[in-house]
Amino acid sequence: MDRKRVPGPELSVAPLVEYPSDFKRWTPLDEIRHDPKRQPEDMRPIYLKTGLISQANGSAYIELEKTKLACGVYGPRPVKKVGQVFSGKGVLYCEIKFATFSCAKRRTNIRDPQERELSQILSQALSPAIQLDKLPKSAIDIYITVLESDGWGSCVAAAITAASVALAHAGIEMLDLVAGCSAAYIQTGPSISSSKDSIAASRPPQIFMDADLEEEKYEQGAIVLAYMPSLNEVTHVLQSGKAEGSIISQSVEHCMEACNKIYAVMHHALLESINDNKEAL
Amino acid sequence: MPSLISPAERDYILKGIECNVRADGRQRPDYREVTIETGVVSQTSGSARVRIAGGTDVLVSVKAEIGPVQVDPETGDGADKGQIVCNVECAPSASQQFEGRGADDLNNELTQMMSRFLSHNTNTPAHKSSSTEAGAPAAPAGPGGINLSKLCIIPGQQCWVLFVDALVMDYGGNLMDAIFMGTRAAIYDTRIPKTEVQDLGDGQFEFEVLDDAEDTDIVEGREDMPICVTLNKVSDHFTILSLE
Repeated sequence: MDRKRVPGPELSVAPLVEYPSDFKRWTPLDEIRHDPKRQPEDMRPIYLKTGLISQANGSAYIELEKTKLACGVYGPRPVKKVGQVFSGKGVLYCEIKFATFSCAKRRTNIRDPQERELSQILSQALSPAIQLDKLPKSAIDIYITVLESDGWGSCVAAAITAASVALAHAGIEMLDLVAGCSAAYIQTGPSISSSKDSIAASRPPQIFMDADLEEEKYEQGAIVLAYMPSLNEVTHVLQSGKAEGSIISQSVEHCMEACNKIYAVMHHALLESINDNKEAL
Repeated sequence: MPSLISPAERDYILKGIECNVRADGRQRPDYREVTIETGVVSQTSGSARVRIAGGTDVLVSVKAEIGPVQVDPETGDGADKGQIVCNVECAPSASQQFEGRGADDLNNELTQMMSRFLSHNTNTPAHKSSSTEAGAPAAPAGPGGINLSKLCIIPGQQCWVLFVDALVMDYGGNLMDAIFMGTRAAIYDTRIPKTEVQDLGDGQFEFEVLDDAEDTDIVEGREDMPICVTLNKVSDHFTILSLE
């Protein structure tokens, strides 16, 4: 813990929360999703808007119900860091920061290993779309702040989506927009508790698109896919946990379909930003 | 690694792959020769060294230590589970660009990847809370195959912590494959001392680590551990491990 900033007691205990007597925690045994209105293949509604950060060259804000993050793009700027060698290609630098209050547990101000990994994932997912060879000796910086996190997978996916919209908003040449989508494999239904082993094992897990935090607690595995819809090319796949090959390829298909839907939202947000510009003039 | 190659050399490699021949005589789907040695470091609970002909050399060691269990305050999960802590480090001698802080990003990426495979904390089936009343079968092993519940000594108090450390000594492509093979081999080589738990009454427990080198436990679930194969896409073909 960061003792300079938090002069709190050494040992702390979580507050006791009294739930109403009819409160029931969601479990996959219910065979419905955490949000009962959603079908397994449904995503949460997306709110996407560009141009919220006035100082940045391009910016975007995305909200999937309780997953909220802001993204700012700076550059292209000349590389002037000492010790960096000449490169004929541009450099894409990404940084994801979880706000200290964004998760159930307080995050530190210092960059933790998970944030560093997410930043790498993000730059791997976005760099195939950016024509970096057209930007020699320069660098692009992408900064993302997660304001509220409702599930790890959806956070990564939203970060990819928001970052590519912000890049487009900054007027950086790209081959295509990159849409990000996540899915979780969850074993549902009463078979888990009633059978000893055989039925539960043979029942394939359900693929829940865009799982939220509550659902993620029960996942067997998860996938995050970054996809360029109009080029029909996948730029990054991040799969964790275990699942049969058929489930994985099925969820890749599902994610690609969902990405096409996200693409429409991204398109709309960018068109809107042009209209805003016109009005401002 | 981005060593400089001339356009002619590049063309030679690409054309070769198109014709299904590579500079070292392999065809596209052929793997390089792999050498695995176990029990190479005497101070560890288990260790393995993996070498892939042509450069890659990874040393993986497993050390078992006793530590307190980590319980998720919200779900109460993890009280009866051991832990696996992973770390990957690229030695500066492996490649020029690992010098100083140059390897930090790669180290972090590989470490995170490894811990995702071996001890993905969110993925262990969390049906336990509901299972107490429904009598569900014991939770299966985590995604890494290793049965974490078997690493627990006293539920809610003490458990074994397996420190899996991989040291990259030489880098010649297919690093992930080598790390995975090495981890699997090292876990296979691991022997954990047996423990004897005494119940002192009213929730008090005491345990003793038996000091018998002959009579030790293996890591359960080791045969389910994943391995990994890297494919590179060169123009329109998939190739198993191109050199550098």
